[in-house]
Amino acid sequence: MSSTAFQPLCALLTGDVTAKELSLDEWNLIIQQGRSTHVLAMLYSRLSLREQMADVPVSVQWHLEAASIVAEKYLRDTWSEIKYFLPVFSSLGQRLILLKGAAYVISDKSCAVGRTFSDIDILLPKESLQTLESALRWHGWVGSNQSAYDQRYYREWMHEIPPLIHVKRHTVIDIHHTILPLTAALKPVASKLFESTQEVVDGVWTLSDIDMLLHSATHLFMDTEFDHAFRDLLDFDGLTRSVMEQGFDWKALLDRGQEMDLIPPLYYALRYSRRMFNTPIPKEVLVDCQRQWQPVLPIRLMDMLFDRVIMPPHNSARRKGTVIARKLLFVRGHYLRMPFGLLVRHLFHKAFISPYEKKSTTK
Amino acid sequence: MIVSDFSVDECANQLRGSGFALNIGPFWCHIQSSLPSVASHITQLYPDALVSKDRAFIDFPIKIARKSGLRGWVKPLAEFTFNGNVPFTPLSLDQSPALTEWGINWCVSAHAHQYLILHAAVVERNGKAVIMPAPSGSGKSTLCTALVARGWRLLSDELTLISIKDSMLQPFAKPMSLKNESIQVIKDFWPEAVFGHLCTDTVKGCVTHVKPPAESVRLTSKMAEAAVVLFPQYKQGAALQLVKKEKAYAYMSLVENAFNYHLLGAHAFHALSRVVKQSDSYDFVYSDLDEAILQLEWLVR
Repeated sequence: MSSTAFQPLCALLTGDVTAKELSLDEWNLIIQQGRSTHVLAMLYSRLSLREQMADVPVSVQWHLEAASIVAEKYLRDTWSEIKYFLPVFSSLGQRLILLKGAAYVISDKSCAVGRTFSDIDILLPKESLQTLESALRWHGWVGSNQSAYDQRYYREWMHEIPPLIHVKRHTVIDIHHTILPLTAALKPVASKLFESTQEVVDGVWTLSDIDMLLHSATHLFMDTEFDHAFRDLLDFDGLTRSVMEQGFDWKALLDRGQEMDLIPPLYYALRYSRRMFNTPIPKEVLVDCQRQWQPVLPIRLMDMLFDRVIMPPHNSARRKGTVIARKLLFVRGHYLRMPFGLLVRHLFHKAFISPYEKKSTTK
Repeated sequence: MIVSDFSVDECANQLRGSGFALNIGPFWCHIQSSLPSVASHITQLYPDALVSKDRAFIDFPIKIARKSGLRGWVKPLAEFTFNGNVPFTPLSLDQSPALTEWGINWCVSAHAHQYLILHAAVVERNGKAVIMPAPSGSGKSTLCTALVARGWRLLSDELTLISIKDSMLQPFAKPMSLKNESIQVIKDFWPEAVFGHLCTDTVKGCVTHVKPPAESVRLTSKMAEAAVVLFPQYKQGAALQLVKKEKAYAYMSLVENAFNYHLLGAHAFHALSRVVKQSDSYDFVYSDLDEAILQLEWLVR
């Protein structure tokens, strides 16, 4: 990667460097950057697995141990929420399908041990949304206070409904019915996702490994915000390495990408995961992917933009043009999510009408 | 090297430039600030703390700076930055010493989960530590400062750090914070005390800080063992009252005063059980500091 500021952290996460080889100066950067990217607990679990925690300097150890204690709490809370969900879902005859962070952690992917996440993402067929939402309401999950416009934005155009918050436990769930906004130019067929789900623990399901990879790429590279881009790309790297352990059929991934209309995000994920984390993705796979689709703008330009936003906003990695790169990718993300006319209308509403609505509701 | 090895100007210059690492309890904070009030706060109240200009590993990188922007012309604000993030809303420039102290406390309570952290003062004498959890306004800080004035070792006036490995108490000696009426009480009780800048009109009222004794700062790596859990309450004109409480009461009251009990799960349960098992617990009502200290000295005799 062009900026080497994050090199020690990336190499330590992936195991390309061992704890012994690092200087205290490097550890200093690793802990600060790891904290701002929320990967310290993942780092702890990986170093423990490689039996390298004893090689971590004593003054550094507590940062990793403390982060892992926080991650344990996330895991306990997630399990306890799942136990609340299960009877609700089974009473409706629905599978509980987890997405993103919760899915990686609950399916016990070794790359995800220590992964934290702020809300639990769930996938459900669109036609079952209403019954589930009202059933969940009986159990204390209610919609957050949102304007009529926000409700419409989510329900008509997006791939998820507004987040539900539990009145007592304050846990947040995001219920998705597909993995991209309905208004996006790319059109993955949601029903195909359900066909290949897998049961990872009794009653708890996730996407298939291939769909999980595609989804990980999609929500990172089709989004408007990149606050967690570093960690999300690390997810992709970890998921890729884990499927490769059992001899991975790359062609199946590309075919599925093609079938689901998700080659563009897959292309970016493969490219940047390799650049940032040295993911052992065969060169031919990238070439094959490139043959199917290439960005409209020169790839060097996209590199300049993505390099800047995947690097977290930590001082040590601050590069010229980060702010403008974020803004451009913010606009790009919106453009990919909505047709131009609708986008103009949405941004107009957010800029001129929403602030006024908020004022009148707080009065 | 300790802070008092430098002149006030040297300190201010260093803080304004690349900053320096300051040792507080088991932690090293790298502090950078161009604010003169922060520099003088550190030189006045941290004279005995270890400093280093070239320490490689830092626990908490901190910056306290004047907030830029138009609003600063009307009402200048000071902003606390940790690791590049701003965790809380800026305060008025005049309150930057308090902001520094609260910020450092936040760094510890939000990250140092190798400890069960209680909102409690903790002091030690004869190898016996007394933990004093109490809500604001109960006279906990006043009592703590008064005990320190009489030669007790300060571990902390705000944050009791209980190691989850062995339940030993980790010293975190830094300036003791006093509020409102208690400021005058301590000025009368301990005339030699060194006071910092008085921050008026904060969310907690008037706040100032008192320099901890050099001995307490030096003994930062000497862990202490909990012997007494004391729930102090200042009541004007009341007779001294020391009532022994059962362990379950002490345990639950300590949970209420913990920052990270639920986060730590089983770690917290075991750490706190050991503390309560080895300690006697009391409700303590006092009105006269001398009388109160005499009673507590008898407790740890």
